[in-house]
Amino acid sequence: MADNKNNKGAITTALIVGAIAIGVYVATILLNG
Amino acid sequence: MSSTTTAAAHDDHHHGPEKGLLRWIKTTNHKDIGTLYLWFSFVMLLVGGALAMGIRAELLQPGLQLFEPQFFNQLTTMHGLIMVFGAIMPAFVGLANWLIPMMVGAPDMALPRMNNWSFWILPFAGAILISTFFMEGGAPAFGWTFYAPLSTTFAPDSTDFFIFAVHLLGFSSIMGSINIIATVLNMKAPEMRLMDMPLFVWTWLITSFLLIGAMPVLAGAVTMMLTDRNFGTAFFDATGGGDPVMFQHIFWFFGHPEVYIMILPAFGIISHIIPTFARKPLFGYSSMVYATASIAFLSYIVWAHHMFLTGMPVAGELYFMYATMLIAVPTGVKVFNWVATMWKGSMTFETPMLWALSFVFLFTIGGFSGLMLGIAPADIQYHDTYFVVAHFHYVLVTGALWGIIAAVFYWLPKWTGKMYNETLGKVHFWWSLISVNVLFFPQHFLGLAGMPRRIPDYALQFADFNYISSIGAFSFGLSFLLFTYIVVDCIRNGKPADARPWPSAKGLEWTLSSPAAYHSFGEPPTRAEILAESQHS
Repeated sequence: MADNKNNKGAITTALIVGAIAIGVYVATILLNG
Repeated sequence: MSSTTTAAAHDDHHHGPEKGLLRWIKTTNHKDIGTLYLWFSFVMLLVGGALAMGIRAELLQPGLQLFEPQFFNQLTTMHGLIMVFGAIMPAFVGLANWLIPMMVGAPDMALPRMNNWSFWILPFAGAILISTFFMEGGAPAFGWTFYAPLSTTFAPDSTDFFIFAVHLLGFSSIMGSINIIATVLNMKAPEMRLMDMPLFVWTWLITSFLLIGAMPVLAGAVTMMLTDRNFGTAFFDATGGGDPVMFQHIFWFFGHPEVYIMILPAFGIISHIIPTFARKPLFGYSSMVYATASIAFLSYIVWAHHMFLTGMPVAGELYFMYATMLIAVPTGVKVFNWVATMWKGSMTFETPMLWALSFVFLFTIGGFSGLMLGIAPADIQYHDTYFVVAHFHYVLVTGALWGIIAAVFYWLPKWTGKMYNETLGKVHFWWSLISVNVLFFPQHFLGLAGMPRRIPDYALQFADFNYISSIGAFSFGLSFLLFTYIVVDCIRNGKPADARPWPSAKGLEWTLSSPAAYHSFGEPPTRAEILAESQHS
């Protein structure tokens, strides 16, 4: 059976996207500080 | 391969759901979580709708009838917040949960436990938001845009609970979009290429990136509000060196992409329904994808068209005006593509198609009034009038909500395994269509005549159109009782639906049985199956 789960890739993607979100949050406050 | 054989191959009956309430609390299944999101958003739609009925009851006649002005402001504020964050956004996330894994041939969302958490934050956030009505000083009354200093210096104590609720809602949305991005990029069938993906998947992928860029900005804004209110900072307090207008820039840097967050998935839904009932492949698939991406990009660089009256330099007004006009180009591409898809098609008018067709007409009305508002010199006249209220309700009700209702009728047979009552579906559609236009169209005239928004009382010359608008509102509100009956009747008494109840429908979800098994696509679809179900095949 072919495996269409890519757990490692999914976690990496999630971490990168989550880091971008946190970066945008911090930047919003710092740029206005 | 016939769809029946494929359905058997793709359905995996190893084990079903848990029994009882725990199933819904502990579930990590994308279909369960999709159902939870959809019911939650429906309850919030009814709550937000009840507040709207209160607003329109007060505005039925000039003078103060039912509410104190302060409470009226609470109604408008909470109506907007509940509809945007509690109804429309969660409904689209619910649709994404149900449909995206099935459309890309994945067994589930990429991060199922986080998916559960994303949902279960929502009821608490919603409850906190609604509970502010019962707090001393009442609920927030500063409008859904919560401009400082109304929301900082002059706001009730309950504002801190509102801030907490917005943080939670934002957190849920961000986790939801992380999940969707990871699912689409990492879990789609190995044989599926990006340009094979259905339009709903594309529009949601792009929407997720909008959410990732926009929601943290909103979270930053409310965090700064929190510290301004409680910890002595002066981000938005001019007396401490801060800038209240900066709040508006930050809010609309979130707020304008937010508008597209609420409409792009609806574009995707319409792009599925129209080809099915026109019995033709979608015209201009690639241009649809690029138009969606262009709209998303442009949505980040037009935010200050909401602020033409803050006294910005003329060069700034010109830039934001022209950038706003540019959005009409990719949006026009979409409308022309939908029309071209229907051109010379063998069209039939089942309930989902009626909703989709009226979406194209009515959303375009909202788009055109948006262009009018985007003209900086004209906006001096329209700003903060009922014309704005009419505009964004045409976009969000006959746009976003219309797309959601169209999707419910289109995919309900796949979700429940039952067919809804087509006659009642059509009655509900015509009832909604007439009443929603009676409700919102006169508001254009009120706005052009100068009636301001967010007021509980008005001058006598606005009485007639307000009366008509309120009658339309009560009728539109009642129509949701019929909608509820149709959905419940479908679930309980509907006739069994075929795997592909719409014979011309394309998409991997239609290769599954109806209702789709609890676990599907344990084995990914082949390249041939993907191509056979592709929107541009």
